[in-house]
Amino acid sequence: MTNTIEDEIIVASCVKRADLLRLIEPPGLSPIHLQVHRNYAFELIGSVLPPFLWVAGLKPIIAYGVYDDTLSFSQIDPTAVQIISLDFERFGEQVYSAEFRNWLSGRLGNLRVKNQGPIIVSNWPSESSNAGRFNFELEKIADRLPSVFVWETVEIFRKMRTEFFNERVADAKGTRLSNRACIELARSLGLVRLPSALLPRIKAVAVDLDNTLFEGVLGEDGVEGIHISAGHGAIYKELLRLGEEGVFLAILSKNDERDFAELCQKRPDFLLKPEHFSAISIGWQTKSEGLVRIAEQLHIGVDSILVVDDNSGEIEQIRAGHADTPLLHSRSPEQTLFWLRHYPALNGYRANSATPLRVSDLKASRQRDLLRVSASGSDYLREMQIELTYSLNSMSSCARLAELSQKTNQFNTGLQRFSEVEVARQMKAPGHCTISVSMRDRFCDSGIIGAIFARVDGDRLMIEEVSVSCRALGRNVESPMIALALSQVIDRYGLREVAFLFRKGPRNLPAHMWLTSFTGVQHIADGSFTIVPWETIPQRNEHLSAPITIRWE
Amino acid sequence: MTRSQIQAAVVNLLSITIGRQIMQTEVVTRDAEPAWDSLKHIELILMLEEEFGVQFSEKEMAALRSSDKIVNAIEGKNAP
Repeated sequence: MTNTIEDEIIVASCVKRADLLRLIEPPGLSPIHLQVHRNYAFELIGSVLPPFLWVAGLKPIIAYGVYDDTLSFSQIDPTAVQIISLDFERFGEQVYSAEFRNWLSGRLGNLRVKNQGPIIVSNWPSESSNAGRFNFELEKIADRLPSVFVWETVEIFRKMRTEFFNERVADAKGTRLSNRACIELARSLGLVRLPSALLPRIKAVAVDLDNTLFEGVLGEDGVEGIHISAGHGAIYKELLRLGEEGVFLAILSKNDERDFAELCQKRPDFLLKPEHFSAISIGWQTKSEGLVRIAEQLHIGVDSILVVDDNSGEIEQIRAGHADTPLLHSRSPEQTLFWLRHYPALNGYRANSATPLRVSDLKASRQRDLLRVSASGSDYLREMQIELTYSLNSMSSCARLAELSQKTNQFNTGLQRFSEVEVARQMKAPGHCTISVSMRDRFCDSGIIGAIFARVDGDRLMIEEVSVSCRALGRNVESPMIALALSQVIDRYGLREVAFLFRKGPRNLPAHMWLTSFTGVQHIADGSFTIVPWETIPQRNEHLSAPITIRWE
Repeated sequence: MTRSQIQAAVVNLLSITIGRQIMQTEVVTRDAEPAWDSLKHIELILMLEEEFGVQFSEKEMAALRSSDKIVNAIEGKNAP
């Protein structure tokens, strides 16, 4: 991702097509192949799509077929991102029927079989009740298929109303969409929809205080002297929304912590309170050092934190130390608000069971640390009151298991980076066992925190990957958790051996150390399976009798 | 807007459309420019409408086949 944004044109509410087409492509972009299926001139959206995707560090290479109302999908690139954008008005009355929805569902299912990339399908930009019902059904169709996402267009329609369509010369243009609608649709596709289908989500937003969350300098102007505008109020609400969606909020500021406490206490119009922030770095160290402190507190990488700061010098200083950290130079409340709503990889993600739990889980981890000091070994496990819930081949967990495979870096044995489509295929394949592990303890419900991808081969269980969220680490529960899962499959199929695939990555030393300890094999080979008789797994009986409550769904 | 101002703006938009720098004095025709295809033509019309605040009918759109004809058409629409 490009980590700063020259954004005057990208942000402009009435940006001209010519201004977008004049922008010069930045270097270092990652190419993405898009295949577009449409029944109108999508090219008028496609031609202005690149500048928006450049913000996310992506360079689109777009392939168009013929206009096709039938969605025949005759020539499909198996790995390209598929975009389906239809003018539903062309289908007339039949679009309201269940037959039409079944047909569309069938066509999307057919495309899903032929292609492994994300599929983006635009909904119907209309406020009619029929369109509303259709869009509701479309969401349900997309939810049933792995890695199929609805491209939300109704909100753009609502904002533009009569300016959204322009029937004048529609035949010559090949579309009823107005020029401005094409640009707005490209903006939403390029900044939000495509990045959220392709990139891992930014996990935290770290905001500066002075001239970012309010106008003025807290240390100089004082709590009563700073100005909080309506625009700042909108930023607070947007940050709180992100927090509710599971994005960590943090303060990264050169200030006095007592002033911040006083601000929270004495200014009711400052809607953000200390409890909204999962990490706070307020002090006189460099912003770069503060960022590292925040990352440590949140147990995430600095490349997963979006830093919002009004000071270009600070922005440059962070960039020099952390080239991969996404940075937002806050120039005005309006511009900051725009980017909190549109920053690539921050918005547009499907809610999954784990995301909103991150924030509460972090708070709970501090309580666990206190318990660890006072108890030890099995007493600690017992007092934690851990409950594990396992599911075997549960399609409803596909998105979360793919997320674990793709985003877990530390405790990931195989680094297979399975996509949602691949996870779904494995779940349906004979002899494959894909296990999800949900965890709850006395402090909080952590949701799905573990994934085991395995297949039966003769009397051996081939384990292609074990991924455990870093949120679940540090409770000394990894070995019992995995042993209890494997034991169930081994008993069910009457197996004798387990074989773990291990691939060395830049950050998966914890997985390597666990595998060495769990199997008792000192030299785990990189890139191949380590085979161990199940009976010889060290401390197997201790793992299986750990004081943990388990259940299978 | 004077004719030369219109001319300069049209040349600028045509350069974006065709993907090469066009000289101010150059007369560009659709027939001689393979890059000026039907979709690029529509995009050019959209940019002209944005830039000059004018609207073209389908018939007018079809007739705008050279830089000169575009400048003349815009000048005509801007005439008092």
